[in-house]
Amino acid sequence: MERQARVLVVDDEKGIREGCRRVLQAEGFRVAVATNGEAGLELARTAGFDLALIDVKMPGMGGIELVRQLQQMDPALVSVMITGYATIETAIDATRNGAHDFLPKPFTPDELMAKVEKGLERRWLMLEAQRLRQERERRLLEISAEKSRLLTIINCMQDGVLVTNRDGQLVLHNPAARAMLQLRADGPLPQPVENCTPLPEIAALVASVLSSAAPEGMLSQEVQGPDGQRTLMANVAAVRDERSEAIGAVTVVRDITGLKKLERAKSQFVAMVAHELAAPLAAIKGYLDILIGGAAGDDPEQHRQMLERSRDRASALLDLIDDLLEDSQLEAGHTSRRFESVALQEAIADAWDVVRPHAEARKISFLSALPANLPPLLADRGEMVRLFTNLLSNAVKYNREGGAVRVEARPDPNYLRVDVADTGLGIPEESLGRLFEEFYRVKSAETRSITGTGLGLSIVKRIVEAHNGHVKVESRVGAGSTFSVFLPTMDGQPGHS
Amino acid sequence: MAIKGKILLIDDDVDFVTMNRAVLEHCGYQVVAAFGGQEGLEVALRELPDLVVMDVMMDETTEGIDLSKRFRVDPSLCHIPIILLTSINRHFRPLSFRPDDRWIPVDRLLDKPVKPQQLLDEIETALKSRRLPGGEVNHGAAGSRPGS
Repeated sequence: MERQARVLVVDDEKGIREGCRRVLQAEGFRVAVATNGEAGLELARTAGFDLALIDVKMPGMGGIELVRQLQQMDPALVSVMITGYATIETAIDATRNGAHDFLPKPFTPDELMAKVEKGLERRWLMLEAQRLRQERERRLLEISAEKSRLLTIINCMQDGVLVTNRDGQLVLHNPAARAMLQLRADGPLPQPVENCTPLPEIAALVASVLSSAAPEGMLSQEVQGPDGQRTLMANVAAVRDERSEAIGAVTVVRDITGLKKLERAKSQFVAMVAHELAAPLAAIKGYLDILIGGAAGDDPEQHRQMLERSRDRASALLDLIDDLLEDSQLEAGHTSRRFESVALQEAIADAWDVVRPHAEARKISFLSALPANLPPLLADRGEMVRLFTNLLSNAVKYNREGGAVRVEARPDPNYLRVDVADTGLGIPEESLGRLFEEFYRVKSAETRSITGTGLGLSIVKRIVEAHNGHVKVESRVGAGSTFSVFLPTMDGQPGHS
Repeated sequence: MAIKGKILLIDDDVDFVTMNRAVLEHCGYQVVAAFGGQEGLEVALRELPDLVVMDVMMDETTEGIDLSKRFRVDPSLCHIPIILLTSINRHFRPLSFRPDDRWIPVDRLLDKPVKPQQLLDEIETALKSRRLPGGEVNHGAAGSRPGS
């Protein structure tokens, strides 16, 4: 016995009551007694019992009624009826009303013990069954919660999920899968996966992981989306039982269109860079081949020009490498910037120092019309010098011989506006939109022999944008161009009057 | 020296026009030049050269290839031999050279820079196997496919 069993004895006959108590206590049971049904019920309310010995005939509440009420309180309580009228009718009547056994009066202590022990056995079995039932209910609840959690996760996934049974029939799918694969799965499940999606590749993948010859592991395949626009990556794996046999397949589909696009853009950029690097080297080598082999005659003036062009292309190649590194750093955001107070006048002066020799060689004048009371910029000093060097260098390169470069600045709401104007070739309308693209260069008879990397303005744009500013350009072909950059000031205020 | 023939150079890189012009003129060719696809077509129609040497990547990535195709469908230009030059790296050609058909309709595809003597030899070979105006167009004569 797992624990000390508790027995309730309800009988109006004192002899029976006390006799039972004595015998049962001697056997080690805990015993409570009551003289009538009401008192017995009251006792049962306050303390739980394993077994009740109940007299059928009592004044007030009868034994059968008491059994009924006790059963309601604890369906696993075992009741044994004590009856003086040991007729088969009483016994049937009592058991019909929930009693488990009956004990005819008079009875011996052995007879009592036999009934009690048999009753308790039944009690323990019923308790065990009850425990198992409750356990099972709890498990079922857990499983259902787990299932609902899993379904929520699957339904929230951005990747498409398809589950098929061992026959390749669709049994589960999530909204992402429905959208990506244009699933026609409104009919009852399961149904063959090939009837549900217009992509035959999916059904083929599922079939191949389910085939008995398939090795364990995952199959991956790129698949064109049903609209032809998107690229999908499908990963399919079999679900296996304990004997390693496939009992179904899980397919996870990811939209990799963005990745593909990025990959393509990167390849195109690399191809472009390779071309831009190869072109000047090819030009230099071409000139050297001619000079060494004498393939163009022996005019010393022509030779000098070829050597000069080779030197210019070599310098341009070095500039290109510099610009490429700068551009890629700016793009990757690896540049560490120190935002500090930068006086525009100083940045412009430093930038002009770089450009001055080229300007003087072409007799281009420089006018910096900057008021003394401009608010300082909130910017990285090095990047400001780079920005204005690029703009001033363009203003000189694309200027006419003897032209002018003019820098002006004025406060603009929340910004300082700096204009760099030249009196040069100007930019055709159709080129304005592409001017800030990497490697874009305006091509014309006049720009043909001007070397450049095609990255200067792209770097300008990146620097300005990294400072939360912007840049615009106005131009008239034959008259000149004005680049205006808008940069944040130290106090974020329009300049002092 | 007698004029050997009229060559049209089409390249957006002024240095290639300069150097090839120097070499070809030194060898007795008459040279006309253009610096882009559209200009090249105009000069070709005006000058009717004996041979064209053109770059692939100009304003557009495949400008030279597109221009070759326009030559091949123009009755007055379709017989002119074309030598295509490129500095697009071999490895990247599948990306940029995506012809709609399986061939690029030119006589030779050469990597830049071409040694002066090689260019002269190629030009001479191409001029010899030149198609006759109005005759049957034979792309296969000295035909070259990308990467070959």
